[in-house]
Amino acid sequence: VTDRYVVLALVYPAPLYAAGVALATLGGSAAVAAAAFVAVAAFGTVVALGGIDDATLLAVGRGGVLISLLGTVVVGIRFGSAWFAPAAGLLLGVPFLWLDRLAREGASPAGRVLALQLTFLVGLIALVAAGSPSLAGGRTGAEGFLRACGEVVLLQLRGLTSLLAGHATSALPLAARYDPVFVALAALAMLGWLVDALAIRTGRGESLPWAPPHLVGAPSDADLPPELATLRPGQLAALASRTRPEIPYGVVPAGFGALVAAAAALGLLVVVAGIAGPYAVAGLVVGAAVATGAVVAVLSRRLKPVGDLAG
Amino acid sequence: MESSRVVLTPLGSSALGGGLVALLIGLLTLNLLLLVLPAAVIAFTAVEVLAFDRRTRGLRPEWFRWQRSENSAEVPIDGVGSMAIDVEIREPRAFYAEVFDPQPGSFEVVAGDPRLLTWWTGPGVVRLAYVYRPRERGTFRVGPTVVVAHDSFGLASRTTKLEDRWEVTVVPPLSVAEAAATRPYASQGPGELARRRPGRSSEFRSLREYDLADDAREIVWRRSTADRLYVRQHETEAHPEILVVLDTGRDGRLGMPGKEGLECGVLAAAMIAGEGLRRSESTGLLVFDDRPREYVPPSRGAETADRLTAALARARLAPVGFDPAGAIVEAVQRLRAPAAIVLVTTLPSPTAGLRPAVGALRAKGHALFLLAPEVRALYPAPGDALADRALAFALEPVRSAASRCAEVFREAGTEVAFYDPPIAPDHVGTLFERIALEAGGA
Repeated sequence: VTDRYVVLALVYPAPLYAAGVALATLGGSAAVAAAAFVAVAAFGTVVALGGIDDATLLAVGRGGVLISLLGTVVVGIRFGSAWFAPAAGLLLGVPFLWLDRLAREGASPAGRVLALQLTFLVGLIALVAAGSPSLAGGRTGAEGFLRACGEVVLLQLRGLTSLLAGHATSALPLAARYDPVFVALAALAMLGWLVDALAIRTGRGESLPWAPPHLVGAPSDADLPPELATLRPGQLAALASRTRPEIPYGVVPAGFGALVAAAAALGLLVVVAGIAGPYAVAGLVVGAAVATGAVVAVLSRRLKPVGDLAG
Repeated sequence: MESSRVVLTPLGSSALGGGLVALLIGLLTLNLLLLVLPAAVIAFTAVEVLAFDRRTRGLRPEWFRWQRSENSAEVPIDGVGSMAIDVEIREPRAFYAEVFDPQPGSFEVVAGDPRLLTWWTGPGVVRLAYVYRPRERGTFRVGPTVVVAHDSFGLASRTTKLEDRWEVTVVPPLSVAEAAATRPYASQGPGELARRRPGRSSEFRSLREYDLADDAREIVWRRSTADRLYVRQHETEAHPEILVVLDTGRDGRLGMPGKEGLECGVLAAAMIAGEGLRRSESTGLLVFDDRPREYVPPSRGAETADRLTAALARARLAPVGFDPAGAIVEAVQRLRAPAAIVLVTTLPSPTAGLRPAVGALRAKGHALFLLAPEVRALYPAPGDALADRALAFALEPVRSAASRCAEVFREAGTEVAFYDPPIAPDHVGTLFERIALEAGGA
């Protein structure tokens, strides 16, 4: 079992659960929607397992799903509700199109975070829409689900606009919806994200020594070239006594502090959110701004003479 | 001296950027579930970068003591060189470090590693040691050694350079000193090239007709007429000097990689120079393409051997054609005493201006010898008859042009010899016999 399978095993349950809950509300159109969902999820899984590496093919696949989603919605509006079933399935499968980012070696951190965030977003919208039949405007099945999804997004945006204008609003359908199972599965998915985020490596993605050499493969002098016979004894001795990679034995590895700090920040966020939600959001925004500003300040620090640094 | 700054790696900037965009998405939902992930990413990235900055602040060469040891200064192109550097960190810091000793692209590391990724706790010593195989002659610079401090998750780094450059000269497979130390040629002993021959000294020998290359002060006006001018010819007792003229023109690229015409010429030049020095002759070198590139005046001794080897090591293929007439004129201008000029070339071409140049050379008491590899021998025989014939057919125009040019050299009074590369000691012995004969016959 490779890291790739572990990551997928941790990440997949959340979107599968959200899709399952939504499909269960679709009634007669569930079968067609499920077929469309399975097709998209299968494509995403093949990509995540490394079955498709060609960038053009990937772009065509992803673009095809998105165009099909829009197309079926438009055709459904024009010609009848039967077309909404595949559209609902495609919508629920959208997160799987990018979940390969979490499993694939060399994917950017931004790509991983955004893929996971998209998964959470689509899952949340689907759960809210599935759990709010009143938003379907009297429609049922796939059509009602899609309509409810649209309503959820519109209401959320209106609510935000109103909030930014300084008016109190209670119409934020996404803000206070917590499905305990989805939350638990989302936490599991974040563990999958951590598998890569906590990899000990250089900025070029090269592994740094962290485990005893026998676990990571010790360098060997077994195949030294015959020309070495021409070297002086001192040169051979220097070669033999060269330093091998060492691991941080008996010390708390660098980076542990960042993990603790991140965990503390999350804990604080959750606690404050539990006591006073709006303050948590404001605190998060201010904290993110301060953290980003501090990083920018460090990066833009002008080179200083040694004497200044000593002070 | 300044401290280096922290650099956010692509992973770091991507993590921070991704976290901020994810935060924006989370703020659109105002759902704690979608705020947790960006909060974690931003907090983790920011704290890690700031902690790394604090841990490595002030990283600069003063943190370290370093010393190169057991390093090769001169490496034969068919051998290997060794490089070792000890770097000691004096600061009581601990971080992931990448220690790297940059070397030229023509060095192939065959053992050890010029790069080390390790957890480094100060104070502690790291030793880099590696063995490399050079692919190209010349003088190359190794270093400065670079120390990069990495944070544990690839988000940031900080770099400093340790000024410990080292110069390596990649010399021909046989140095001039080595060639001089061997005695493979039984034909001549040291000093046997010494002959009485025309030259400038006080002892009068005869008169001869004035040549444009002659010094006007030697004209004997009393014997000269309005139509003919005569100059004094003196007799000298001297060791003739040897000047090897190495052609580095573009034809030197002919041949198989690593065994091109230029490499054959460099080896031949080293052997000829070595044999000259072994015979206690003053030996020099002129490296020439369409202009002089390097000149080592003829002299004797171990120091000269080293200078010749270094000059041969620096001989590089030029993108222009060789100008033999220009090389001869240049050699004649630089020489102060009668010499045997050995033109080591790949292809004897072109020949424009050759006759007057050789005439001037002979008038000064010099003798010219041309040594070139057999064109066909620069390429190994493919092995089957058809391929052999195809190769011979392809090379025929080059070979015949070389033969024609060689004929022009001969007509101009030059001794021309071809050899199968790499040049054999016998060829060098024969060449020196010819030089001795020429010196004796003059």
